[in-house]
Amino acid sequence: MKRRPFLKRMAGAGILLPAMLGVPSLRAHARQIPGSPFNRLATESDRVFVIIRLFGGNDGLNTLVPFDNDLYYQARGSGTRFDVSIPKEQTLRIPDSDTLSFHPSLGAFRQLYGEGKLSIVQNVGYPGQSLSHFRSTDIWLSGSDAGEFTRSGWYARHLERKYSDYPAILPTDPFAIEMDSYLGTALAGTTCDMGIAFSDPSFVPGSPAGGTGPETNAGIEEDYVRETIRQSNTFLTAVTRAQSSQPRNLAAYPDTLLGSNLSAVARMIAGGLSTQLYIVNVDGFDTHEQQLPRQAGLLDYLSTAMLAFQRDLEAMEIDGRVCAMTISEMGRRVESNGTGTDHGAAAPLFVMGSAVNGGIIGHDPDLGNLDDNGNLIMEFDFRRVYASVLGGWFGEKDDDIAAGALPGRFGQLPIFRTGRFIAPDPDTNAGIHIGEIRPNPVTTIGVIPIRGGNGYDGVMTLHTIDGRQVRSRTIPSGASAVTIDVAGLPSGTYIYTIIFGPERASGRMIVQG
Amino acid sequence: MNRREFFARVAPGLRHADPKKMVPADQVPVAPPSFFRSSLGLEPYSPDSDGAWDYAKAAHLLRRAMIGPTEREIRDAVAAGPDATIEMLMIPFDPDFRLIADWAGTDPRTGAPEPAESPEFWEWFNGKLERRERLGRWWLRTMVKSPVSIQERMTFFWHCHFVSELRAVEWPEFMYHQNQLLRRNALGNFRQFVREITIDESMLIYLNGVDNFVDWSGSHINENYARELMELFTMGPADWNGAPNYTQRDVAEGARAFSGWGKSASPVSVHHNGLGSAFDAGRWDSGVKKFLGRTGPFGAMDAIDIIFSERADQVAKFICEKIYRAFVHHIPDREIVAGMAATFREHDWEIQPVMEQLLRSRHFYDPTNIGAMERSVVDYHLSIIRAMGLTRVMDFQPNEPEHRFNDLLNRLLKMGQMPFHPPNVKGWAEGRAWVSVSTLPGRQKFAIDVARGDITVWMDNQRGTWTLYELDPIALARTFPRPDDIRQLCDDMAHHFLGNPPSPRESEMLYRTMLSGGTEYEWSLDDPDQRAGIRIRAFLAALVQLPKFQLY
Repeated sequence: MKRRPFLKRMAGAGILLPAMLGVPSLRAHARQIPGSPFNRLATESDRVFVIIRLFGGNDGLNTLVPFDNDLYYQARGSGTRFDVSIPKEQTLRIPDSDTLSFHPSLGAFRQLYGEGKLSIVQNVGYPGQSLSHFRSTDIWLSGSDAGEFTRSGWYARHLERKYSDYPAILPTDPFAIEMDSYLGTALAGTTCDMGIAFSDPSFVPGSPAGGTGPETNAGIEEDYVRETIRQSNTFLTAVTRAQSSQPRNLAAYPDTLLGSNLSAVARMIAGGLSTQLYIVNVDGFDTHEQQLPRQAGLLDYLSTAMLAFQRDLEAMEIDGRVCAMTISEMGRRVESNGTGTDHGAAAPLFVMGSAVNGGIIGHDPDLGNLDDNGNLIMEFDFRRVYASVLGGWFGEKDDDIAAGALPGRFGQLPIFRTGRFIAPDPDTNAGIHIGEIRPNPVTTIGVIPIRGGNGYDGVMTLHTIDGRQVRSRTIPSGASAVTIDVAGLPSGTYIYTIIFGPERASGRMIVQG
Repeated sequence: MNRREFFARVAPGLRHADPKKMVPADQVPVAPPSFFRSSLGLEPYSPDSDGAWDYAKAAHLLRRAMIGPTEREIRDAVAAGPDATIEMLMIPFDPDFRLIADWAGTDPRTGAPEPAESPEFWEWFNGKLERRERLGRWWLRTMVKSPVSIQERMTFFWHCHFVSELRAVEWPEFMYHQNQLLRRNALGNFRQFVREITIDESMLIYLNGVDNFVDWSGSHINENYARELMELFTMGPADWNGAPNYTQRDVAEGARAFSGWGKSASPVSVHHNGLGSAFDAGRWDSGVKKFLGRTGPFGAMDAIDIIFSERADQVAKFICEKIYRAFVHHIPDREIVAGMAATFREHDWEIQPVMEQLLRSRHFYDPTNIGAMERSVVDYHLSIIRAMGLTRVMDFQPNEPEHRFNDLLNRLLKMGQMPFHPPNVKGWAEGRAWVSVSTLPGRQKFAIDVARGDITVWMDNQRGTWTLYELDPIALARTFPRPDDIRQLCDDMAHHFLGNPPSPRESEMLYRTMLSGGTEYEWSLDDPDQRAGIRIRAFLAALVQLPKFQLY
């Protein structure tokens, strides 16, 4: 569309709705490039990860409702004027849980869960939870400890370690894209931005003329602007090219900002952009008041757009290399404040994709054991989730993760199906020795002897042969064996996987009922 | 005490020892790897030691203290000298209310007419949306029509500080009322400012003050305002040594003190809400609170007084640091900020002495601090409109029956900064956040299109195409002292529009653009054959693409 008719349209249309802010307005009108070679970064992986950040603090207890827990209904003022609980009969039951069910707006999540495409990690947080949105957001995006102030982002530091010659040498495609008008902390590097933010790439770039060197603060800022000009030219050409080679989506998205952003992400991935991380932000989860109607709307907004994204990826046949995860800087207070809830601590997060281990990792929230502020106590440090993304999904080594993105070793959770199983062999698993399960076949309880793995909490998962997770438990550091209770499992072949930090081992076992 | 005596008294001890030392800046967001620290302190700038009061200094003062000073205003400031200019900047003015006079200051009808979706309902519903747009357009126009005064820059600074969002407050009448509160207190007493903003109806709505109460059914204490008041509006989460300024307990107890305030009734009808707020003792938690180390049955004003007495040092430093970041450089110099904070407290929280001292200081005029800030979206667009003398800014026109012109509002919204619509309670990001690969192309494009006269619109009721943001290049050139000398005009315009003087290479490029094949001695604004207007447009289109144009 030419500018003049566009402006004509704009002038008559009145003000843009805030919901249109940041909608990518890329239009593909160039010819299609069917066999366009993918322009890879200098990396071995073609995997992509999408982070959907829920700003304001999503209430976990009403997202994944502990529907048979009286403490929940008491704290949430059930039957009183303070009622912010979800009645049991309204919730959507989770097929393999007797204690948890989804918020009534999360039909899309239940569908994904039933297909084994949703991994839920319970009670994620960090020690010393800050109740400030901004501080806690900084902690989540920087990956720092609660007592440490870090201005760079966890993913940016990962990239800095991996691509140490950036920005002297620019990749053809941006490393990471945030679908917003600003680049958040996650992609802010220690010396320069490691990703780009964009909401409107239609532009006429100017070429910088020679200027003064950085003899003053003004010179430093001028260099910064000049560098920005240089980068915007390079990257936006790549983004435009990718979108023009995949001009349309293959699934219908809800007509929302999130739907629009995720549809643009899908087209960029399918169009061959080698960007590996996308960030999409959603605001509004700070439900101090009117929580029930507001969260119902937000969860519907979130889950329907995510489901559409998954269906689009499946139709494009790229779902095997893309996963998406929600994060939020905090959960909310267990106790109702009237019509809402105040700032809280631990909460569940959701990882979606054809390559995840469907199921729930972790325990139900313990409502009988709250912290001094009346908040839920965390079970998994969020950095452990990040470590799983970098290690389990992107295949980074634990040493590299600890030296770059994260302040130390956090171990990993079995969120992702790697697709390749390593036979239990003491020689190839140098740090850890895992013996054969006994007895095999298992009738009631199987025992796997383990050695090594000190310094890590381990995780054991059990999958059906078609990849559905049926068991998951943590293994304390230093344990000499792990047991698997097969009560209630149908007879057949199963695969167990044991992960200690960077080491993983799997084996087959047969259950005989 | 007059101002000179005052400056003489605070000056000692603020001088930095090391000249222009490189210091690491790892404490600030999106920080450059290093920056220069001025060795000059808060003592008054003096022509004898710091160089004559010239165009660069006068332009620096006006660019920072107002939005888009014109060439003539800068020349006047050069002639008037720093004292008279700063004195003039501190004089308030009454905005022109014509654009919103039909509803500004009235009570909004908050209750929907029944039945829903009747013609009356839709008139009421659309009327609110239309007034919300006009409110934004009115303020943008006020900033552009401002005389030489710091008023609108300060008011916008406080809007970015005491944040409320129109979409949450919903009623433009309330946000207009808050905007007047910000303007009235912009250079006033900060403690009084906090007292007033705490019970401002927009703030009570935005940060859940109206939901913070006790009644027969029990306690509905809502911590939102108490937390943001301490974290964002007064003291910040921690002091300069990293020690927490308050605990979660202080938030919870403070919230109780702030309970009981709500919206006020309107004499107009039960369907309306009044401007201002009302205190209902029956909804106030009258119990004893333990807040910031003090114990008593505190109310909202007591809690504010306790903040200003128990955390005076932290409040003064937190606010002065924010002022420094907005007016000097996005990386605060804490020695200077400490001096400002001392002034703030000596004057019992008066804002004006702090601003006068800063804008008059040697530190402010140190060349390293000139032209080193990225223009915000609002500053960038309005500076272009004001300094280039653009006409046909349709957003500034009264409503046409057929068209609602929000072209400028739409641009600002798309670029991420529309007044009354901050992104969250922390306000807009600052400094480098304004210039990124996502925003820079759009910013440049607006300026290039303005220079070329390329923003046009089809007007049905005029049956023709109109140019918006119309630039008269000849008239603009005539505001410069020697428009008939092409070299001088190029040089003067570059100094006027760029945050810093152009490099020799940039000057040469600009001059060649202006000349564009012509000859120097033939240059004339009056001879149509020379097509001076087109040449000036091409010159400006090149000028606005220089990185220096993004800075001020």
